[in-house]
Amino acid sequence: MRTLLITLLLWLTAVSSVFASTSLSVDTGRVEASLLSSHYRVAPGQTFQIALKTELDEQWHTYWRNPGDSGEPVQISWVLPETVTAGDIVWPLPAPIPTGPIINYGFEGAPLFPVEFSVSDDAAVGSLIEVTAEVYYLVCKDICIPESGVLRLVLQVAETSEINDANAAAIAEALDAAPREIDVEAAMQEADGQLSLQFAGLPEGDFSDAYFFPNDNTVLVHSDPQTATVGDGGVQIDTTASFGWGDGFSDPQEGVLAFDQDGERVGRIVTVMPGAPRLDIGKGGSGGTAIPAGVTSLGLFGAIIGAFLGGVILNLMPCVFPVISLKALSLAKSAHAERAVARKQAWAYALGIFATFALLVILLLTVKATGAALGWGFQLQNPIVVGLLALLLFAVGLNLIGAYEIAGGAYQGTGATLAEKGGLTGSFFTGALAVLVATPCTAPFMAGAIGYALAQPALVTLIVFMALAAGFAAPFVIMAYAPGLLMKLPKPGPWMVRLREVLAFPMFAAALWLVWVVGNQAGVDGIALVLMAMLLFALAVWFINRGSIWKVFGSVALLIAIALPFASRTTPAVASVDVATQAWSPERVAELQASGQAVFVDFTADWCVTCKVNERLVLSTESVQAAFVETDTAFLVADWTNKDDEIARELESYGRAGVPLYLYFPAGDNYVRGEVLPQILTPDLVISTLRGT
Amino acid sequence: MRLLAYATAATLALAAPAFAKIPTGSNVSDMTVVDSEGVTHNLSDFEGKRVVLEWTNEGCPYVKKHYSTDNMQDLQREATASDVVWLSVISSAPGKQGYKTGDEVASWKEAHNVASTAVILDEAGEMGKTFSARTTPHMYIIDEDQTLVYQGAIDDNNSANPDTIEGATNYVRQALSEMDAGEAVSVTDTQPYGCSVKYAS
Repeated sequence: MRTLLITLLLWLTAVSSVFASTSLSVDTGRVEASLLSSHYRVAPGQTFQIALKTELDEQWHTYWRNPGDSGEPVQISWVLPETVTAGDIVWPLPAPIPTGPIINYGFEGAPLFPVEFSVSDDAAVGSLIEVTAEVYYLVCKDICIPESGVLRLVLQVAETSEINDANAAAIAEALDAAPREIDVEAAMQEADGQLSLQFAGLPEGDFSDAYFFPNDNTVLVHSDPQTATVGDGGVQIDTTASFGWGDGFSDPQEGVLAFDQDGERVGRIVTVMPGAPRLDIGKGGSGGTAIPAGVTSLGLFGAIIGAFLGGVILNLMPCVFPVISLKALSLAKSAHAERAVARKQAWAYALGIFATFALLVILLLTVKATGAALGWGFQLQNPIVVGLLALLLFAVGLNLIGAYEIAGGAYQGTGATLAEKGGLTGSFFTGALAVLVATPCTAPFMAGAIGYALAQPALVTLIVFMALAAGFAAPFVIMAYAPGLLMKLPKPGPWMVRLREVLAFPMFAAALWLVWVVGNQAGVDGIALVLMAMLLFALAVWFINRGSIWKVFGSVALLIAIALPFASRTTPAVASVDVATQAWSPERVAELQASGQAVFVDFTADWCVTCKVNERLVLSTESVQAAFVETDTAFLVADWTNKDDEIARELESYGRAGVPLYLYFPAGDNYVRGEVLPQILTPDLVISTLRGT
Repeated sequence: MRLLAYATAATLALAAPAFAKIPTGSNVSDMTVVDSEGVTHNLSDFEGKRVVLEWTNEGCPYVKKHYSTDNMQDLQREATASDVVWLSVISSAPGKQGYKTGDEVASWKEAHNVASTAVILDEAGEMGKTFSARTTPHMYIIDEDQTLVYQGAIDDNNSANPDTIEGATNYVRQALSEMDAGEAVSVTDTQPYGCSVKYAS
């Protein structure tokens, strides 16, 4: 009888062991958990793997070993026979999962947690290995639920092992995708609450979106962005230090460095030495993501070249054109005069450009040093400045059309009001004016360079901006020195007066556009103020032209005209693309992503001409809008017309200092970094991005 | 003129709220809050007293761990008995887990013998974000001079399992007794654990 029972039991286990290499799955509520074994039968002395498989309900997540700001890691405790020992969990690559302002590190979908087991040499052939896993995890969506379960499977010890192909393949895939240790040079330093990590000797890959997940949860502030700067010798990540630095870290800190490799997000386990000297990551690159136009990683040299080219191209952008044409006119006037005069004027003009850029950069750096989040174009985020600029352009237009002359002689210079003295001062202020009105336009090559520059030490910032100034001034300086070119310009004559008058109209047009910008910034009241200022200015001109006592009225009107724009007050701006748009916030992006929707973000501003052109000619076209509807992609607008710290920070985290910036977050992607689209969009490009083709 | 505009821009930027931690050791006197009975408090009202802030959310398993075992209420009673002001703060937005109206707070306090001095309703999340409260529970201690002397977890066992309370070091109790003894607080910062605070955004 007893023998019969044992035979029956053996027979049963032999049959059932086929099934027992995968445990019954347990539904713990939001998660379906099971154990997968790589083997049906294991031999004494061998190693094998068992993975905990968790299938999470949609939008629910569990946590990595360091759960981030809140949460608790997935935990497994094993109950095993003496002949078997379990290793540690091989953690999958986590993703940063935002919930409001909080960032967690965790998993969605169906993550596998493989564990390596070894069978002792003295395990008896024919004996059974009963593996029990008590699993516990906190599973969260908007609320959190701790869930637990007990999972069991039974394996048999045999002379020769037998693999469960399906399980072994699934586990091998999970192990392959999991971060593995690599040997890189890594150092980190903390100073004044800022944490800087450098990694050198890296494997192949795109580190422009690199992210460091520390195992210890007191190393860095999980909810603060990590800014990656790629150099030709490594990558640097800057973020905020957490309170663990209060006592300092003496032990090497382990963590996972995540980056992109062949279009896939991968992670590597790295060991970082705290307080080790800063590593040289080589020539600095663009922070954040790749720059369009084929420039992937920009060193200082690259940034200088980019800034210079950007400056040259800026001359052709619509914002600057009216002012530039003035300069061209003045150049034509002096072209046939003394060569030396033309040269001096060209240099004065260049000096005006350099001085104005330098002034703006110093202001920008000073304000930034106080902790304010500002980027390029900040001058135009204030309706007062825009209003004054509109008034200035209106004044220049009136001057051009001949409504008034500034003391110094008729038709001598062809600069703006201040520039009217002709000669060198005139050229200097034409340069200054050109820079001021140029800011709303971004030229190709320029964005990356400026973004790079603003993330660097002050001296580097200044150098890159000076390269931009050099590029901007270059065409005129070159012209003044190229005799052939100058002589090709037509001789001065009555046509110049006519041209001067004609040029008044682009000036008025530019003024009109700025008034529209004021309207978006400060509403109808803002527009009214600027228009009143223009009226008073015209009145002032008229009074002053009448001479004698009238000049007093004129001066008063002039003062009021200038004072009026100061009364304008910012009101929230509205977006202007026709697709059903939503206001951008990092939380909104996360929500939409969590709901499985693809997201497109348009970082724009009304004073940004490049943005408006893209919106009018590309984003609001029928075919592009149809693609948005067809792919169910959410269109979020981050409007930077007025100052907004959150937008400024987001731009900065992508290595940009200004708009436009276009981001695309594919559906089902859990990463917090979007794909960066070029600054000059085409319908085809947007449509193929949305369709994922 | 332009300088004036820049100065304005800079001031505005500095006034903008951020989700950044207040460093331990900072003065935190000026903050106006409203409790579940509609009473307005300013933290400066409590100068000369110690204040404990406790972020809570009734539905959170980690909060349940400390309330189902009376661990939190015992600590509240101990503290308030020695004249400590204990403010429980609810930063859950309406519609989110843990959100309570004044009446709901009253019945919750009665049902669980909650012994805090007052329950602050922070549905807009302003107080939570000012203190960078991340989890429930998340604990803060402010001393008599209105200096933040502790922020972080309630104890050193980050499990949701009530059985783990026994044997855990309660950082708040430890800090308060160190303060009673006239000593400096030995552990001033720990990583809070628990559910995320259910902010509106």
